[in-house]
Amino acid sequence: MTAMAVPISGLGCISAAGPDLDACMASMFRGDRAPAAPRRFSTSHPLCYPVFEVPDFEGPAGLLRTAALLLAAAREALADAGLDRERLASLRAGACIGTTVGSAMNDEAFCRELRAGRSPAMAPMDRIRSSNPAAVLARAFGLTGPCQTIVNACSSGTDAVGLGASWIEAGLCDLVLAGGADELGRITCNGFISMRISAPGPCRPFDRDREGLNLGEGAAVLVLEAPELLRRRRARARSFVLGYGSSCDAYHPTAPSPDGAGLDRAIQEAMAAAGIQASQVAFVNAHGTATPDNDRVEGRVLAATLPGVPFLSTKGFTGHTLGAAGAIEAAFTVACLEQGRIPACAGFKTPDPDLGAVPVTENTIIRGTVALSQSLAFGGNNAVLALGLDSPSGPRPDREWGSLRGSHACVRSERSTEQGGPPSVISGGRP
Amino acid sequence: MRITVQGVGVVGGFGCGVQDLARALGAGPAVGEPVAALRADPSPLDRFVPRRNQRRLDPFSRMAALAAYLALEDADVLAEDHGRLGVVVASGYGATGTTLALIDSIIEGGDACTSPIHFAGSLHNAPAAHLSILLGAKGPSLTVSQFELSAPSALMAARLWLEQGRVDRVLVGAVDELSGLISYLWDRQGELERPLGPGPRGEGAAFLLLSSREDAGEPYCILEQAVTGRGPAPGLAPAGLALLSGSGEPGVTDLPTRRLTPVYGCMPAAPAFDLAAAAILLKQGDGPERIACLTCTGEGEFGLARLKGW
Repeated sequence: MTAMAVPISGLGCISAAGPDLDACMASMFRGDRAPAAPRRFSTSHPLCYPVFEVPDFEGPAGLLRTAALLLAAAREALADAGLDRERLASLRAGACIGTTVGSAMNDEAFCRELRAGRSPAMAPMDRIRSSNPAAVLARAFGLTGPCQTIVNACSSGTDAVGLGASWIEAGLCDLVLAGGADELGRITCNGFISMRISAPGPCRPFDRDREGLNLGEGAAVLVLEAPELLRRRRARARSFVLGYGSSCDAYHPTAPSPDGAGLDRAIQEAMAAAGIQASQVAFVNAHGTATPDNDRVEGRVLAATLPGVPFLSTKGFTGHTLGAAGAIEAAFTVACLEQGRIPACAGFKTPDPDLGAVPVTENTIIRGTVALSQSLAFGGNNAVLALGLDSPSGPRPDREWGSLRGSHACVRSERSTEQGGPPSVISGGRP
Repeated sequence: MRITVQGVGVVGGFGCGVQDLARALGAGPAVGEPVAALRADPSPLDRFVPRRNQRRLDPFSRMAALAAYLALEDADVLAEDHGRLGVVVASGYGATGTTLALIDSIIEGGDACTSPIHFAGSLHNAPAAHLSILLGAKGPSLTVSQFELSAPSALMAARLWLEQGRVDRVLVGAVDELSGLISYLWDRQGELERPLGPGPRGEGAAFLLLSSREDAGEPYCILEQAVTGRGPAPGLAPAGLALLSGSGEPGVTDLPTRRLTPVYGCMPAAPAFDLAAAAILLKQGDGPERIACLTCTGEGEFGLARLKGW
């Protein structure tokens, strides 16, 4: 496999943590999180299962909320990249977007009418058929290249970014809007509650007493560009997709394989594509849904494969945004690399001896230029992105220290730095 | 790198397997009363998977699994280790029958009685998950949903994986079902902003086994091109025949063209059947050396695959 280094020139994100990427990052570092009962729908469960809803957001009536969230994230990402519709129309630009709800023909009111033998009006079906996420972006921004909506359940967003990057690598496109989007809905909430993996309180990723996930909603878009295009328009890369790996457990439709072999293969593939060793990984943005099974498998794999490398889950701030999660977390990962720090793993309190690994418990300074963002999904899918500030050909010009090759990841707690004492190294990764 | 089609598996209103499709292609559409719906029978899956192991598979996943097994059998690799096999599944609408059943469970019993089995089965990637489990396929797995462009999009992804060397075999195909929900859309398609197509309505699954291995056996054909996009489709030359699908018009082409949807029905998965038909026609060897499969949507999108005889 050839080394990958696909520039990321723009980022956009909307989630319960904030209406844009900067707001999300600021709220996470403040430690804000406010899961609450859903406001846009209700259920009749005796317990309240809190969710992370995007507040004060309304999309156009003819589109699913998923598509509207996606458009918001895409506009932010394109503005960040310094691109507009006119410029995009002159490029071979594509869209690769992950979702789950955004492709489902599951309008509940429509189906209730149908089941009752009445003749429901077609507007809900038209709305769904008009809201295919990748097609929405292609229409909105006049994209002429490949257009793909990935429905790999909860790894969709990570897969979309990885596959979008591979389109650039293969020369299929000059530019790809890659990301994910999903909205909260009654049927999805009921589905996760029925599987007994929703928590009746705020989620606690990797905690000994974790009770399950909180659902969330949101979207994120990464502008991936061919290096030649970036040079031609004299733009800068915020970071790079350095590697992508994916695998299937082939074990169970909804549970991860207990041995974690599939996740390990995906991690190894992503690191091999990036040409990096475990010791160079500054941190891992883990899937960390806070379900007992996911966190057990993921924690054990991280302990074995990337021992000592700091990790966190950001789902304590956003909830589990399903098909959007991988894209949102990729955007967070890049922003954390840029800021040189990661937020505390919100909701975590008590280490689980069964995991062999403990996430970061406070905002933490990181050193290093590459990080992993990973997703696990129903269907046994595992997907991992290696994201870095530098391309293999050299460091980004605006950075003063470190380069990808030979840099050693190390971390220290932000608190100790702020207190002015010597930085306490928490971990140096695997030597 | 040369990417070849090593096996073809199909199930649809015409029957099950390459021979049934070849026969239907030769015979053309039935003469007489128009066919209302071309339905697929996935029961031959029993030949590959014991019934007790099909418990979690809904009809949608059973169709996909049957076509996939047939493709592997056709390529004579069914008994081999599939640990490095990639799987790409396309569907325009997903498991709409199970989605209706899921909502039924909520309507009948209330939110607390939501069926977890139907919830899991309603996810678009359920067929890919079942396939991977049944076959022990541990390579990358992908499900795409792009309405009429689902199958061309899946083919593009599969080709890329092979070119990148991520895998050396990919099972790629498409599945769609004619559930109560989709039947209702057909009944009322005049009220939709964009109609579903001219009919007849159809369902089924079509899979190809693609390989980049030089030591693979004699293939059906070579996959030369797989692209999708928006705007005018690339030129179809040097193909000698174009198989057309989709609700849009391809524009002017000086090639002979055929629309085969009367054979297997109109559905988002139809472009995958076109690929299977093209592979069969090329292997028969009495037609053109190259066949283009072109899907055009009513919104100006296209998917194009070009296959060349061995």
